[in-house]
Amino acid sequence: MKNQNKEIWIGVESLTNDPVLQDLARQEFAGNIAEELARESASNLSTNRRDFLKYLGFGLGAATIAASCEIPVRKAIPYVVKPDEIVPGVATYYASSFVQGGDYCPVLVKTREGRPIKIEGNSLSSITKGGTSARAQASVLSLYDTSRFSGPESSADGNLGQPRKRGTSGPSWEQIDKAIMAKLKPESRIRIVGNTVLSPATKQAVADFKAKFPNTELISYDPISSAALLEANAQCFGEAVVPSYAFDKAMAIVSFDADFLGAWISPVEYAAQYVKNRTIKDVKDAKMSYHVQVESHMSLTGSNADNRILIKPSEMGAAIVALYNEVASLTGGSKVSGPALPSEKAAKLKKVASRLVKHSGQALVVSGSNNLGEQMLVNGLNAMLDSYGNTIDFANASMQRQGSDKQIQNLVKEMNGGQVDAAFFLDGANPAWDLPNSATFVKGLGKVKLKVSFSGTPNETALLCDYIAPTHHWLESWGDAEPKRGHYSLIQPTIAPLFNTRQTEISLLTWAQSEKLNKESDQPMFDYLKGFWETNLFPQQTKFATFQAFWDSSLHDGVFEAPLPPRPEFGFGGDMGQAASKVRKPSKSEMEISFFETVNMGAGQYANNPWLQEMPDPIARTVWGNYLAIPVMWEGGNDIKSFKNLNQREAYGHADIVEVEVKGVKQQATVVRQFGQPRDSVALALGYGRETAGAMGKALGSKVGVNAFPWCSIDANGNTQYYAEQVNVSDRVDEDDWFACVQYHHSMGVTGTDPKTGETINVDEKTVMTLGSGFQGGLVNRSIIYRGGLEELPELVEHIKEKRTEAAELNATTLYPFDEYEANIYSQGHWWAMHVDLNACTGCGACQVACVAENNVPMVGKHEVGRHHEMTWLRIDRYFFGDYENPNVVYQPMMCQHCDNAPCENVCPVAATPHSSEGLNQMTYNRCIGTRYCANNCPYKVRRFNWLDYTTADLFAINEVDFADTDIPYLADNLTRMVLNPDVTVRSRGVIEKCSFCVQRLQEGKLTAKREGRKLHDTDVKTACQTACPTGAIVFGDRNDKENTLSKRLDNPLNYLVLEETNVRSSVNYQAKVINRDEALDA
Amino acid sequence: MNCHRAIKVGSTYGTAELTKIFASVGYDPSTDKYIPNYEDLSKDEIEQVYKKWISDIYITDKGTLDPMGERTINEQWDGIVEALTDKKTRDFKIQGPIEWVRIHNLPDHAYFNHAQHVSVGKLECQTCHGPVEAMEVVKQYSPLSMGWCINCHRQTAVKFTENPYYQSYAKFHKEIAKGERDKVTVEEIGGLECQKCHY
Repeated sequence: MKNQNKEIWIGVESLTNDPVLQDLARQEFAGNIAEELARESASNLSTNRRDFLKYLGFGLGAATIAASCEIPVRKAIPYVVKPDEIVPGVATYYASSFVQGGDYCPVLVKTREGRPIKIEGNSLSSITKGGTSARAQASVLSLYDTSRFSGPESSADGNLGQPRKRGTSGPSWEQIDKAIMAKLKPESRIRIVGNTVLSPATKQAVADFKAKFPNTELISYDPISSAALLEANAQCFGEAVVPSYAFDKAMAIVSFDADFLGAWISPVEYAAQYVKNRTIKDVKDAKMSYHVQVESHMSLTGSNADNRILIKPSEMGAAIVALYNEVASLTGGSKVSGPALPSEKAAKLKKVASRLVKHSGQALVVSGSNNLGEQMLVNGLNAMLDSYGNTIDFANASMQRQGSDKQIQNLVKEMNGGQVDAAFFLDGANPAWDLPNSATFVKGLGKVKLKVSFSGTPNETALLCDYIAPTHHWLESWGDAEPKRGHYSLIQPTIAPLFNTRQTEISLLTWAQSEKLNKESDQPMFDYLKGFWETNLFPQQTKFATFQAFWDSSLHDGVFEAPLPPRPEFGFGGDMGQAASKVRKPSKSEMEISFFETVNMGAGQYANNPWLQEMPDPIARTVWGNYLAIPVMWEGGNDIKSFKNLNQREAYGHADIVEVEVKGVKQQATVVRQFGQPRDSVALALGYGRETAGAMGKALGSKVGVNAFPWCSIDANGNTQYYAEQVNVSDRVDEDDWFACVQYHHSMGVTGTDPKTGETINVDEKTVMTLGSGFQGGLVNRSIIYRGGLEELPELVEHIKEKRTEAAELNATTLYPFDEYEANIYSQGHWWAMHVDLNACTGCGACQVACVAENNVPMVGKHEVGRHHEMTWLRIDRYFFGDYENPNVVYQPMMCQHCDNAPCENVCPVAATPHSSEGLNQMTYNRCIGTRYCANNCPYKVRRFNWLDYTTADLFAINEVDFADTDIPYLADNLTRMVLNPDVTVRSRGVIEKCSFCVQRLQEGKLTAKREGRKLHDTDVKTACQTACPTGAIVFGDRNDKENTLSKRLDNPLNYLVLEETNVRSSVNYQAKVINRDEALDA
Repeated sequence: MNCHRAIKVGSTYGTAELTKIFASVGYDPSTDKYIPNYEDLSKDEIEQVYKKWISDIYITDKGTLDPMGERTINEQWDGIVEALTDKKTRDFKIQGPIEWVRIHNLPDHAYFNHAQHVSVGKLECQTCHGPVEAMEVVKQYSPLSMGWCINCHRQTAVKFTENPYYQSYAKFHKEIAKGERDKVTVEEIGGLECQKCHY
């Protein structure tokens, strides 16, 4: 299957040179706007002559009022005693920790005037080293979720899922406490159900609760489970923990379906480690790790791999057995007998085995499988490859997955057998929705006499409960986390609780009437946590003599690492032969389906967060929903066929809806064509299709996508399996007219072959080509992505040099006096520039959400995205290259390039976008009249127009966008608006906006340097995308300062400017993508 | 609810934003009106203005001005005078903060930072706020409009040689050393550019 394509492509249309894509790429704004508006007005506006006069009348009236000289009286209430830490206009940062189940990220919370508005990474953490994830970035918006419970609720009132009307209140905490305590007896069989609990203090609170109610059990489960991994480690090493992986020490990595860069266990930590051996710092002595991903759908990790081996989901066990046996035969181990893999795939794994063995001691095999036998074999593989002690460490074992599938299934049985008296559900746990057998769970739950949910927002499980005792959002909480053994992290409140909520621990201690609870205290959880740390953590260290000093230091840093006591080495055990008999058996079914976790949606806990819903999936580039990934087949030449010929009109924004049947359950799903999807399987993301993601009329994430959990199954060993055999995919049954896939939006032009002449041309520039050639690059072969293999690095360097020389020659013929400007203006003071290393970028999307948070970028909803109206300032373009059916991927973060010879600036009729002496392309909203010439003229397609009043900034409700089943538009509610960054203008309808290089941060950094009377350092100015990146792919700074990090990275011969031949003199340097692909595996 | 929804058609609030910039140098809080000769008012006249304001609020609250109301007005005024004139006898019995009336009206969608002007630029308070030390009641002294800002940026010299931050402007330093220029204005280092204030 050697279907190599020399160029990059984004979709089928760019391969087949489809005129649709040409049209789309040629137009900045897709679709006939006038036509659309006319259609809209027919349905919504129904403007008649009287209305017209009314609007006009208002306009005149407004002008008259404006002409008078009245002024508003504005009053302010000053502080009587100003809090020390609040200075109006100055941000305060607090160290805290983002924790959601097993997801963990140590952070700094930026607050303005007491409001948390932004999450930054905590660089003091040795785990994440200052990186963040999209989920952590977006969590600040969940604090202001309008769906949150405003206080405790009781089902007796009958409106659990409804938002409370203003002025009405539910039961008080005293009433709830009394009712619950009356139902609890000392012998009650109580089950506290939660996802992974990272907090030692919470566990202590459960233990204190258990002291009064001895028949209490804490049931931990993870909806997307690593239970088999824990069990395998228990059998092989005697400890049911996730070990600490060191991807930075591994030179050969094999991952069996573990999406360790996207969603698997601790992606921020792993991504930072992973890119250490993936970036090219020195071309002369370049070294890269070798990464093979064995999987049955294109995952984020797979897209970053050098080679992918495509298998059907049911072949996973056979694949692991095959690799095990190959490695065993090379290292002298004993083989195991297990299911066989088709010879073609087995041959590939044989080659992988030899590379792994070559790097023995520097090799790492991981698996996302939830099959006990498979995980044990992976342990066996790592043992043979000498990974333990080298790339895998048990001393610092991770606590980030603790869930047991057996425990939760046992609970389902117990409940159905009437053996449970009370069930408590911790925040985030939603077993009534996210179990494969949630229907049985719900049935059993009906037999439980007392059901209490601690969830902060309504969810499927909470609505079935008798009482809701809502806990705080983590930004309002005191708490701690132990993500790894000996690594502790504190959570501190950054705002007083917005609602009448109470922390779970306090609820438990209150009901247990525990003497450890200080009822008189203003902040009982603070006292409890401090007490816990004093007894348990303070003695673990010797640095601080007094507890207060220790506490202050830990609270300031946010993290505390206890010196680990030496652990005795333990041997590797486990019966591999028996393990091999437990692996899944390949199925003969024609079509299989795999279910996976996406970067943004998790297991559905994040469904009500519009920032995550509208963050495009890195691979499929779809938003607001999960889409069935179908394979794309290459039939030779330009003949690309999709499965069942579905989605022929994807680029038009139309996708087909099919009916998928698994285990007799039929659901309809929208299709997306996916390169790199094996021919005999399809894939669908988990976590979508939540029924009740929030309060009625306020939930944004309800009924978005398809729920795949009921299609999952439980294997003989009791673990949840995320794939299904025997899947029937129907032909097209319907059409999704607003296919929200940003893949085809804002295309910069991709080369393809002209079907008539066979020449290589730019797909979007065909018209220009026929008109004439030569000027400013002739627009052939636009330089968007440069890439190459590790072994041909010198050729790549030479190629880039050649192309850049060529561009320089073309650019020499110009009227633009760049040298003069450089000498007189840019060469002194600051001249901002950015560097993006395409090898370090894994496409995780943290930067994109950080940009949204920092710059008040509006969310627009599925329908608006469907018509190319997404507003993101930073997009991550995804390009394929290589084998059509098994391509490699390169991600390119694309934001305003701040061209010094900017084409957008020249065409603005009102000078709303001029250039600054520091090289910034400035966008001034006050001046903008919305002609959109600039956006049309932008070669990078990074300018965004406010088609509607996305932030409800003006007076006409008709201009607002209503993108979900909500009473008022997103960002119209004053609660949601608390997340806005006061340093950045909230744009109104009718103006263009774009990336500003976070100019508010630049101004702040410059001011700091000025006040301190010193030179500006690159640490003073960091853009939001840069600080969010877990891998350091983005570096920003002043290119006039020759000593900073940026200048060092600007020296790399792999650097290039995108579209350099257009002579726009952009300021963002990209470093070419290099892969370490083993061609031998392509055969 | 959304504050924008609260603005009724015909409200003076939103539209007056356009013109308020020049309208706030000296005004009467009780009538919401600009007093042309505000600067010439004596202390007694200002007392009348404030007492009228307080009595208006009292009448709005209670319906009529009774002897109790008159006492209240005098007490309030005395309290204001005491609190504002003698720091040694600060009255801690005052319940809650006094509602301040915002005197300085600024253009919207503009970022202004005092530290940049006072700490870095070493400007005196009086340059922009006038002789505040002599004002009985503070009033807006300068228009604080964009034109006023820009004009000052054109004329004002940066503390160029004093602050090591500006060393990155090598070309200007060379010109100063050669004697070709004696100062660098704010304009010359980008002080007129849009995104110095608008972002």
